[in-house]
Amino acid sequence: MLTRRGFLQFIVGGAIGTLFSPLPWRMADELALCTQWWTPQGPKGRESWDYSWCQLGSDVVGLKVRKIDGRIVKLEGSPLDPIGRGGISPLSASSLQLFYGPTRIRGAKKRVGQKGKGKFEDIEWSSALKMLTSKLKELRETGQSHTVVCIDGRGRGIMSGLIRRFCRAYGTPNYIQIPSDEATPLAIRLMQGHQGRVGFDIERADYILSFGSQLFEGWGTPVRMMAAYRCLKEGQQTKIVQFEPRLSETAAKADEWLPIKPGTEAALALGLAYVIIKEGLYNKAFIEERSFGFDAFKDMVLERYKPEAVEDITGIAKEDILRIAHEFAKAKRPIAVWGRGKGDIPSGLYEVMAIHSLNALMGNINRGGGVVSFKDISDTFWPEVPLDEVAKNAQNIERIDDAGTERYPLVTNLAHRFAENISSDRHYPVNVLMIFEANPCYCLPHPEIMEKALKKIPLVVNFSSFMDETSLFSDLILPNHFYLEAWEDVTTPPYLQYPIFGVSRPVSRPLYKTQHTGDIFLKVAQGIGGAVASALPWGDFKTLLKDVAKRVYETREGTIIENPISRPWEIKASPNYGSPDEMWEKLGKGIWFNPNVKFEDFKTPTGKFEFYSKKLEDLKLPALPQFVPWEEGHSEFPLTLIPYEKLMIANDYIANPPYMMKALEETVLKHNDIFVEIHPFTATHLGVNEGDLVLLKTPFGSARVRVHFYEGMMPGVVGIPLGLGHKAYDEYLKGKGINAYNIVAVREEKATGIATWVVTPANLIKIKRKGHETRA
Amino acid sequence: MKHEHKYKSGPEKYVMVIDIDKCTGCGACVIACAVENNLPVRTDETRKLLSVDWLVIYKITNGKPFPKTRIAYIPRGCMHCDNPMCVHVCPASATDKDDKGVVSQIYPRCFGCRYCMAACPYHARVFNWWDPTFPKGTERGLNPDVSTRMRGVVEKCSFCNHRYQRAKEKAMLEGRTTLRDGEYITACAEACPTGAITFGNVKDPNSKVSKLVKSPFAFRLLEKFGTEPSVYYISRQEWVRREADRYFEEKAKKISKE
Repeated sequence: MLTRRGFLQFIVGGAIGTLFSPLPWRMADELALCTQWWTPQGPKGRESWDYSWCQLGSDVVGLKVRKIDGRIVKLEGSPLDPIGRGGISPLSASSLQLFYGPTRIRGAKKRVGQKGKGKFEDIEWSSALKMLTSKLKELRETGQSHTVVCIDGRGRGIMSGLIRRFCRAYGTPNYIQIPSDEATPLAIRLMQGHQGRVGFDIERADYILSFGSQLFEGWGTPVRMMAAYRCLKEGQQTKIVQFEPRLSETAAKADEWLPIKPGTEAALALGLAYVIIKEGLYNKAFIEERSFGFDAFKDMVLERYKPEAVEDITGIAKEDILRIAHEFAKAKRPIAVWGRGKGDIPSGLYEVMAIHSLNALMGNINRGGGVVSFKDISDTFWPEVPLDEVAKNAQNIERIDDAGTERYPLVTNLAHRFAENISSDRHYPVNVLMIFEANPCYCLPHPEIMEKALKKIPLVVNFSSFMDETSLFSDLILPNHFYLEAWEDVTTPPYLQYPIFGVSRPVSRPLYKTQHTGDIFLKVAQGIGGAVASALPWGDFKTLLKDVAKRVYETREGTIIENPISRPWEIKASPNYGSPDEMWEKLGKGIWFNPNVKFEDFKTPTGKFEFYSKKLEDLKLPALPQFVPWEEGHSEFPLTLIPYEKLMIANDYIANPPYMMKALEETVLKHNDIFVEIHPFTATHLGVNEGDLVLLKTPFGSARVRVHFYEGMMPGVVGIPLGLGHKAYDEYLKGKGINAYNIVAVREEKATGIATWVVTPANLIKIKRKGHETRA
Repeated sequence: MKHEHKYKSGPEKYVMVIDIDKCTGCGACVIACAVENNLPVRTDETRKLLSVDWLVIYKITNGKPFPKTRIAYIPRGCMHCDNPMCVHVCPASATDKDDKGVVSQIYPRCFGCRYCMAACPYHARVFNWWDPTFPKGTERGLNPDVSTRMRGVVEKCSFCNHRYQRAKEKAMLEGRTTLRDGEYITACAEACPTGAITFGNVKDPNSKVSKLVKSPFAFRLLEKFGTEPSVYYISRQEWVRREADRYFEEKAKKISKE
């Protein structure tokens, strides 16, 4: 029988006995293990490398892709990229976070809740496509094909050509590009008479005047400009002069920074022209033989743009104007560069004409180290579209955004008028809107007008890969592949001085149920049938790319890069591809490029470079470059607000990946508050301190911001970064800062209708809160 | 008082040379570093004292009023000093200087006393106040060569030591015992689109860095402390050299005269 003593002996003996066994130690160990939170580790595996191209934002970067067991873990710059030559930009380096990140859309979706609320349900791809095709077919059959609108955010290359071709064959004039640099192609069309693209041969120039272009912060192609900077600093010691109201990173790297009053660049360019003309420093051979209207230009400049007058307008001292003009004229290959910010803060036509006149004065057009024009494969590839009755009729219908109409005959896109016209029912109603790689509900001025417009359109189809602001207002989301999963064309990026063509192959299987938008357009065209189907006969986008590559092959020009080249623009290219198949094979790794491209000659009515545009004269518009001042400031808004761009902030269709948010300085964003930059002198007048909360007011709205003192900001000017203040995406981005597009002033250039938002009257009002510290 | 300089390097000593005049402050190096080394991301990274960064870009100004103001960018990682203050103070022997010049950090040994952080004059070290977090789904992109770090330990730039191991393995497979110049470079040096960052073995007389460090415009940060950093900077602008090491006014003036 168990006694009390026996029981206690058993318990104590048992406990002591257990201590001599491994059990308690083992249990303690297990407890420690299972209560740990284990940090995630990347699984090990077999390593392999691939090649790809990142074309997000303004990037065009050749990539080496590191994979572990087929899983992509790192993107590095490819030395076989003639543009970046092994460098990489912050966006392409961190794009893996977008690829794997939580904001990717995982399959076709259909809206269920109210528009803008972001409630969607999954839908089969087949039924989504059927829905879109039958709607498009029905509209076409009922004579409403023009009520279909396509918005294209990429705006270049084969993919854009495909969408444009679809619109033409389907029978709608409404193909709209966002964002779109209207002024550059227009100025080239008027002054040089052709549709060719513009390249700046920065690498060979020996003197660069930049009129507000943020050359090393995303202008053109970021990696190309960085590589160019290296080349300029190692080689000929090119002088870079930056005119900009703010000491940007580009201004910091320039040899000389001259702060200019915002929006007065055209006056400065004409002021420099005054000195060059007055002192006879221009290229006389070019002016006499190859230009038209120089006398009219000369008389106008000499009369209106004396350095004293220009000093008053621009704030740049007369002595500096004289000196810079002399230096510019003395240089062998001087180049004047336009394109504000990353090139997407629009300039007006006359401003571009004024700046380009400087290049013409020096005769630095279509030669090494100058401004060159040529045709890209994406301009020459497309065969004529066979048009049926519907498509022919559509050509006579006016565009919904008024571009190309009697009122705005010169431009091809007026995205800002699109939203306005729809929300105010100015023209016909729009039935279907298809959006490719654009986020107009975020990156157009006053996105609320676009939201209102989208609410009015019964079927908004978005091909976005991300749950962005525009996706929230869509009815149908047909997510595109991410670039790492897709066949993509690589064509000449803006401002590059030679044409390129490449094929970016998929380096990963699609992570989610996404489909290539190019394939969708081709499928839909087949579904509609008839002339639309025969205009787009390719089975899929890859087949189309093969056709394009074949056309490049047939030119027998250029070369495919096989080994790293340090100065690709200088080489004598000879074709190193024997057959179309060999070319296709080689394009898997390298890229085709042609540094010996034939430049486009002047094709104006006079066959010369036109300082004085006949076409503008015919339209009864001012025919010479000119400076048109902004409206005077309002007494309520004594300051001037300028938006500025940063390479570390992606501000178009692609938004910032988390690593880029992490790398932002604390003088741009603190918690959820955005900083505006002002000069300490401005601050003294306003009575605000560093980090103070203030109300930024413009005639179009107001926002709560914090103040950052910056000695490099022009007094009286307030700088605000573009690209923050998202209403969509994840917690790494959403609600951080404010969207500057909400409050900027949009001004239309009278002659062309081009909208610019360079200058906004503004005021800063100190927020006083009782008992609360307003300092950051 | 200057510590006894005990460090003796082997046949390799890796150094980094950053040309400040070429650096545009674009931040590609910062991102490449973060991706390569699996740096954690928090939803709010604006409190920089709590952020885990191995490489940061300092923005310095010449202090002159508008419009004479100039700015320059100084990328700053770990200096991998030959006389590392952090190694001297670490009670856990969690950090050491190896014979190729890298100041290592062994996370499982570190118990988070943060003496090293206090000792480092460059603020190169950061503390993990939390376990690492990554946006949902992005763990799939983690680099398997670098372990993520746990809460409570200090971390810093490793000169991408794992890339050295990778390069060395590759060389051994090819039957070589030494690495060629450029075979082992850090992720930041590789990413830099302007070529501002150069990395290599300073003991190799043919390497790019061995020539660059001899430049009359080369300097190191806070040389007065005798830490003997392995990261060199180059700038032809006198004011940049002065700002980067204000204790050496005389030296800066001397160079500008040359």
